[in-house]
Amino acid sequence: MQFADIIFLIIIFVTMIGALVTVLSGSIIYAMIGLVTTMFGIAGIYVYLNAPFLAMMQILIYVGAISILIAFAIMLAGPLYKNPKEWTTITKFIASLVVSVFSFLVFFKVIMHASWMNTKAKEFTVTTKEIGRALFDKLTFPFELISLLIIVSIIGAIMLALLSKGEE
Amino acid sequence: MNTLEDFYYVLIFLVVAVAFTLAPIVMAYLLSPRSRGSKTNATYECGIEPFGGAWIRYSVSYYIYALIFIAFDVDILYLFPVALSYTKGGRIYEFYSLLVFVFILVLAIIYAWGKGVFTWKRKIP
Repeated sequence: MQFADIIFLIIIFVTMIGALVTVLSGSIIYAMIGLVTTMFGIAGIYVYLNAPFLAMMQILIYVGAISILIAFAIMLAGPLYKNPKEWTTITKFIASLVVSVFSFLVFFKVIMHASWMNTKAKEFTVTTKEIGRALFDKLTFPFELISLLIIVSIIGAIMLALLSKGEE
Repeated sequence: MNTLEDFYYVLIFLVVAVAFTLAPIVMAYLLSPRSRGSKTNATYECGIEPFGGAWIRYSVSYYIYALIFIAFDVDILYLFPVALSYTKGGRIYEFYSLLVFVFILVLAIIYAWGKGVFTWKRKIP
């Protein structure tokens, strides 16, 4: 077993522990921290798969932004979130169990039947630097459009938040 | 494989971060007194007597900050690869491309400013 394999196993372990904490934790704050751990582990998988830009995206967007958003949503919510165990009924538990087992079986079947090795495609790796080069040279207009998209989303978010606050 | 080798220093950072977090916990475990009083499990509030519950609802004003942060987080995502391949004045169009990109984003700040997102209404006089 190589060193990289050990790292991979640690990443998988951390990801699965995070996912289990997310699902099984009784407190929503712990569940959020578990989710952050899971997202971080997925970023590690991206690094392992030679996609550093995707890993950086995962950390910036999911570990950084989405988790912050979830934290703020928890802070905004009422005291309903105190004890999720109180409103977890046995019917909900069975339903979630059925869904998770079914989706696990579907993924298992798909993964086991996929032909991984006989692809003749060349190994495809893109460095972050190449992405930046492409944004400058070929995709200048889409690059500027991204900032337009971001500003539209900011303005929309601010408007929605101000409307919910009851202001004009 | 190459990427993983490049990320060895990230691994070192991770190990140091975990150790740095664990060290105070271990130190507190070794140094703290074992006696338990009525306020051992009380919420820590900078050493003063805590008043009110910790589970309160926060103002929606914080949420707008979070939303703005997310949008700028996404723009960092695009600025990062661009900054890596910036040729430092070798090609002048790169500078203008970045300038337009950042200028459009500045408009969002101006909009939020104009809408009074950054001004807080005082509740406690």
